[in-house]
This record gives sequence, C-alpha cells and structure tokens, in this order.
Amino acid sequence: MAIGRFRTDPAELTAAERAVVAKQHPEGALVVGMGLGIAVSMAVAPALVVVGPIVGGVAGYALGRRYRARRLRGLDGSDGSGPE
Amino acid sequence: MSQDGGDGADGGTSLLPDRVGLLAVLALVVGNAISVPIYVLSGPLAGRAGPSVVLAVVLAAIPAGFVVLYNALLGSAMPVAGGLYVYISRLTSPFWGFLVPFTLPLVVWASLLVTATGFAEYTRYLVDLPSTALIVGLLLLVLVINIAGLRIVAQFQILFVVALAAALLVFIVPGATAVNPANYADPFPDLGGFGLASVAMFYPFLGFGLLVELGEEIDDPGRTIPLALFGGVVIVALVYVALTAVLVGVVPWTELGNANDLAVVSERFLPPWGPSVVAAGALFAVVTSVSTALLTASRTIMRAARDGILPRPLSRVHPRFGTPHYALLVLGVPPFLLVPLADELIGLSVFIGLASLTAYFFCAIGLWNLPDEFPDHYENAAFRLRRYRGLLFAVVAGALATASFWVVTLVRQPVVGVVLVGWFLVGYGYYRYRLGKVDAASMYATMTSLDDHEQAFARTGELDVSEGD
Repeated sequence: MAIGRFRTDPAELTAAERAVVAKQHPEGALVVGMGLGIAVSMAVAPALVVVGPIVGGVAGYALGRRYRARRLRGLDGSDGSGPE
Repeated sequence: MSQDGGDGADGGTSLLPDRVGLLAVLALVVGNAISVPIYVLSGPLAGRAGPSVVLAVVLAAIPAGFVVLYNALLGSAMPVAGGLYVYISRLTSPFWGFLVPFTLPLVVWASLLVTATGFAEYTRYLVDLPSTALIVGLLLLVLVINIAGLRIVAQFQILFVVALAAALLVFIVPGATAVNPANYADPFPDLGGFGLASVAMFYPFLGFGLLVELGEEIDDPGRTIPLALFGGVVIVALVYVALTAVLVGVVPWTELGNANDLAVVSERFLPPWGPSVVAAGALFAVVTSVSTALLTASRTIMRAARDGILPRPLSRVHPRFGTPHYALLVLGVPPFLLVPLADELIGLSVFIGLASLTAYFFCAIGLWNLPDEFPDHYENAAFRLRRYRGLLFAVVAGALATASFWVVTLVRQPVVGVVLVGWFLVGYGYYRYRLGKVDAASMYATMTSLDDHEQAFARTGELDVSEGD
C-alpha cells in the first residue's frame, strides 16, 4: 500500500476530484498543525517541543483529510469529466 | 560521452546537452561533499562540541548513508534532472515535492553564506586583501562558470578535487603524528553542542544528492550512480573522521572555534610553507562547493518550472550555453547581498541539515511507494532492495533520523525549526496561489506523472521541448 497518496492511481480520478486533491488540504493542514504545535509548546513549556509539533502535525493532517473528504463528497459524481 | 542536444537555436529548450561519466561524477560529488565541512565547519563545531565532534561526524554519516541509499535506489530507477523534486512530487505528494524547489533557494543561499565566510577567513590567512571584494569576485566567477555549462564546471572540479586531496593529506598525515591523547580527555564537554554538531555535520554529506539532480547528464546512470555514491560516501566519511580527529587531537578544543582553524592548527606541526598549502586547499574546496551548489539546485528548479508549479521562465535553457540561466540567476544573485550578513556558521549549517534531511524523509516515503506507483521503473532498476526486508528498514530508519534532527534542533536552536516551518507555511500559500493561476486538475495530473518528462527525455538528441511562455 502506498503512503501519503489519495489514490494509488491519480489517472482514475475525475478532473473535478483532481482539482480538489491538487489543493493538498491534508499536507497544508499538517504544516499548519506543526507550526501551531511548535508555537504552543514554546509558549507553554519549551520541553514540549519534543512532542508538540508531532501532535499538531498529526492532528492537522487528520483534519485536512476530513475536510478533503467532505469536499469530495460534495462533488457531483456525474460531473467528473471536465475541468474544475 | 558528449551529446549534442541540437538546441542551439531555441532558447526554450529544457533538456541539457552535456553528459559526464563516472570519473567526472565522482569528482563532482566528492569535491562537493568534502569541501565546506572540512575547512569551514570543523573548527567552529569542534569549538562547541569538543572532541565529540569526531563522534558527531560518525553519527551524521548514518543518515547520510541512508540518503546515499535513497539516491542510489531512486537514481537507478528514475534518472531525471531535478531528481528530489520529481521523486517526492510523483511518489509522495505534489505539495511535499513542491517544497523542494521552494525551499532550495534558502538552502543554497545559506550554503553560499557558509562557504563565502570560509573563503574570506582563509583568504585573509594568505593575503591581505579586502574580503568583500574577494567574496563578490568568487561568487561572480562561480555564477559565470555555471551559466557557461556543466562540462566546464566538471573540468574545474576535477582539477580542484586533486588539489584539495593533496592539501588534505598535508594536514592529516603529519597531523596524526602530532596528536596529544590528553586532548581527548574530556570527550563530551557539551552534550547539546554535540547534538547540534551531529545535525550540522549532515550538511557536509549532502554532496551525494548531486547525482540524482544530474540524472539526465550522467552517462549510463544505472551503473554510474550507485558506484559513485557508495565510493564517494566511504571516501568522504573516512576523510572527515581523520581530519576532525587530528584537529581536536593536536590542540585543546577550547582553542578552536574559527572557520580557518585548519590552517591555524597546522602551524603546530607543519613547516612554515605548510599552513599556506592547507589554506590554499581550502580555497579550492570553497570554489568546488559553491559551484556545485548552484549546479544541482538550478536543475531542480528547472524541473519544477517545467511542470508549471514555478514560473515557466525558470525552466528555460540558455540557447548558447545549454544551462538554466534564469534559475541560476535566482540562486546566484541574492547571495551577493547576503554575504556581508554571514556570521552564523553553525546555525546556517543546522538549517541546511534539517531542511535537507526533512526532504529526504519524504524521499524515503516515496521510495516505499515506488514499487506500487511505477512498478516498471522499479523492476528495470539496476539497483533495488526487497520491499519488506530492505525498503521498510530504510524508510523507518530515515523517519527516526529525521525526527531526531527535529528534536535536537527544536531543543537547542528552536529558531531554525521555526524558520523552516514558517517557510513551509509560506510555501503552502504560494502553492495554492500558483494552483489558482493554472488548471489545478491538470497540474495535479502533471505532478503525479512522469509522462511529460519521459517523452521529452526520449527526444533529447532530436529536438527541443519548448516550454517558455
């Protein structure tokens, strides 16, 4: 099983799905979460920087995946052949 | 060996015309890897970590070994220009791949600052000339050489690597006889300094990434890349250990801390002309490092621009010289303004090491995905591992090493981690902005496919791939 990809074969995606997936919501949210994890850790207790970025990154990634799934569910499945 | 790309009439051509063989590639890689750390970083790192800097070199060699493995595996399966960007965007995800060319300018500028600082220090040791003028002159020369073409760089590199090797022997061999074991008595005076030295010493091993960036320009890459990588890492690791052991063995570590310490320390055991030879070797090393830093990064940016995720003009190749001149200018011009600000050698080196190992972590994930995503490429690779015995171990070990680097950096030098994550955030904003400028669905298809590149690569000797807009 491949890691970190929405689908093993992007060619199987419709154009509308590709347009959503291209925005890389989980990856972007991971970066935001990691940044927040560092900021909060340094503000609360510097020792927390050991785990703060990891927790923030994982939480951000999970939220990003949920958001992307919601966006994909919102697509009309029959309207997948044209550009976004 | 040479290949005429036949593109002289079209400035939009994006494939590179020159090809280099094993000897030139090994010289490029060893010259790049063996330069800056030995001459510029060893003194400052030893002055902070003490004798433990030798162990830091050994520790840094571990992730470096994995990086070599990743490079060998991926370079063998998918030899392309801009390798790291292509591997990560195709095999892990487009955004992580995009971060490579987006972050690369910062890494290159930091690298140039470290190198230029060392250049100034060693130049002042030899001659009394204005250091700023020398640095600007050096950067200008290197920029011109890079724009003029890879073959010229490779020829310079071979010459300089020979001179560098001679200078290193002049330091290491006589120096080994002057070592005082008492100087090793307190091996770990500062554990935090030792941790940072381990991260910073990863930077010197980054020259091995050069190979995959030059995939299109290497003769018989399936054979040349693994040979050059494994030969190079053995040579470099041995030299680093020997040199740092001599450095901290000849004088008490508390006397170290400057970029030109190798020349200064060599006064203890060499005849009067000796330190000048060591310093001259440093200048050769600096030149090779600066030149290859621009060489590799410009190819990565060129490849990303071909895909359209960076501005298209950055993919253009000069009609006469056959080099990505706009990408080179983006990388080579800003350091002229930044050089006078360079004084944080260790911080800059930690930044380079952390950013690079993070990129290689995503590269490792891509390596795991390779057999699924591009099974034909993997099957046809001249060099590969078994999935669950070799690849899994390589990925997990790379993840652990990357996590260790982040923890050490955030604990000991948090500003570096904050700057890097902040830059990634800026990168996500730019990535989304860029997507808004193009057809996002097409961009995603492009950044998950090798089709465009393979078609272009197949036509290398026939015609151009005009991508300018």
